[in-house]
Amino acid sequence: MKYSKEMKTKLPKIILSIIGIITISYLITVSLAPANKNKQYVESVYSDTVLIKNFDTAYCHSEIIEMAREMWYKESLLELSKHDSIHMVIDLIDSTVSLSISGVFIHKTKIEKFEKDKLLNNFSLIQEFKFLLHPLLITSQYATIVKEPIVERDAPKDTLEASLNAWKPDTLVQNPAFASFMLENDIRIIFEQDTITNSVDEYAKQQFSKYIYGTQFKKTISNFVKFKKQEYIPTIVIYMPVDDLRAVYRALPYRSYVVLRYK
Amino acid sequence: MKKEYLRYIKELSGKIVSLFTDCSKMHLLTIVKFIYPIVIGLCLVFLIPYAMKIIVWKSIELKSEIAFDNEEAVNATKQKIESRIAAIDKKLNSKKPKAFYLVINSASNEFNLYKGDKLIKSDKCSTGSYVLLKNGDNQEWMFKTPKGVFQIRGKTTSPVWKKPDWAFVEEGLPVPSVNHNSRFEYGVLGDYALSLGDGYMIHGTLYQRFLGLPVTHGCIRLNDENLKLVYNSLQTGSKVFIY
Repeated sequence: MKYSKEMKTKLPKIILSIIGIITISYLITVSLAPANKNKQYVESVYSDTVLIKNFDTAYCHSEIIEMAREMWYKESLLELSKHDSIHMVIDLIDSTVSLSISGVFIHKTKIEKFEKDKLLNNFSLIQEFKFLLHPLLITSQYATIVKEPIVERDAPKDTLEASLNAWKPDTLVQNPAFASFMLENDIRIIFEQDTITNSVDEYAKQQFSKYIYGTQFKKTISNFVKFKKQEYIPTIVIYMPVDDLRAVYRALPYRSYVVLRYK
Repeated sequence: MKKEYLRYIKELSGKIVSLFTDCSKMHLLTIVKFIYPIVIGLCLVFLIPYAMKIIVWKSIELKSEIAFDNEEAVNATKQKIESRIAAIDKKLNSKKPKAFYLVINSASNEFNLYKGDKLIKSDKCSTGSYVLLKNGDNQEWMFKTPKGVFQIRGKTTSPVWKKPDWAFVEEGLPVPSVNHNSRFEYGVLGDYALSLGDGYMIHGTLYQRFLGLPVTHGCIRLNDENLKLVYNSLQTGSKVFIY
């Protein structure tokens, strides 16, 4: 009797302590994720013997470092120009996002604001050499914009039906524009329209964030439960005019490349 | 009256003070008992991961670039990089068309006519409607403007439109034979047409009020003035970029 009474008073404390320990462990594993990712990046660099051989240590000299970056960016553009489909060039130094086909820039947008990830900022020069010397393949993309706004219509049976159903041209449905591109090497680029003018835009933004960060949160929980290492996705967020964002997203094929310059 | 009022205030404040002191005496221990673990718990939950985060980011932070003092090697590398950049620039510049070329934005239904780096004209146009026309289960046509790099394959004045099958299906008419008279329409494509291959063209329109809207069957429509300019500027082989 006495034992059960004692247990009754201790039980909530024990449960609370267990919950606390689990929460702390989860938060610690999540906060360690950037270090794990960095370690993974460093390992991939130093296991690439060809890369190490081609990397001239003189690039690290303060007088050369900027020139080296410029050269890698241009090498990347040159490689991109060999493809005859549409690709994207993100230049955060010039604050521009461009579309390019066969080496010709066909669309250029000035961006007012962007947020760079700390991990990308802290890349060593050899890491930059490894990851940014070549165009990066877009491995997956998600957006609130429809890529091809297809409207299905059945053929009319006769001229009378055709005249009754005469299609009235209308501007295409202009959804709020938010897009996310996952690149190889696990770098994510998020594009957001730079103005939120109404509740529809606000709702679309919330839904977009819920999808992106909700998926990420679920993944961290699943990794924690399965005792796996937490994943960290270095992300660049770019804010740009809504019309340009629509044009860029619709222009890019599902399999396309991105040249990225951020330093 | 004033004295009574003052006495009343004094009594009331005395009661409040005594209530608080009694309360604190009685419940101080209980409050501490409750608050203490909560404060400690919150500290553990937020401070430990926060401290970890700071430590982790500190450990990742970029170490200063390695010192490299070999001046000869630095100069050699500098020269090597400069010549490589010049070579790449040359290659990239050679990819840009020097003559006239056209860029079509099918999302905003606008075109830009360039000569080299110079923008000559920018205005509205019309591109594919993205309508998928279905004729039963057997036939379907997608009215979209293709994207990519194209070349002008041919130029014609006073073009005649040879209506394809879908033009009849869309109007609810029976499809005639391949060279039937009803297939040929005069004057609907404007004064000029420039072929991009596969049946896609840049041409004029009778429906100029629809310019700027996605209404075509895949071709690119311009107004009369712009069509004339584009026709006179682009030659066979000129590039057209559509995105």
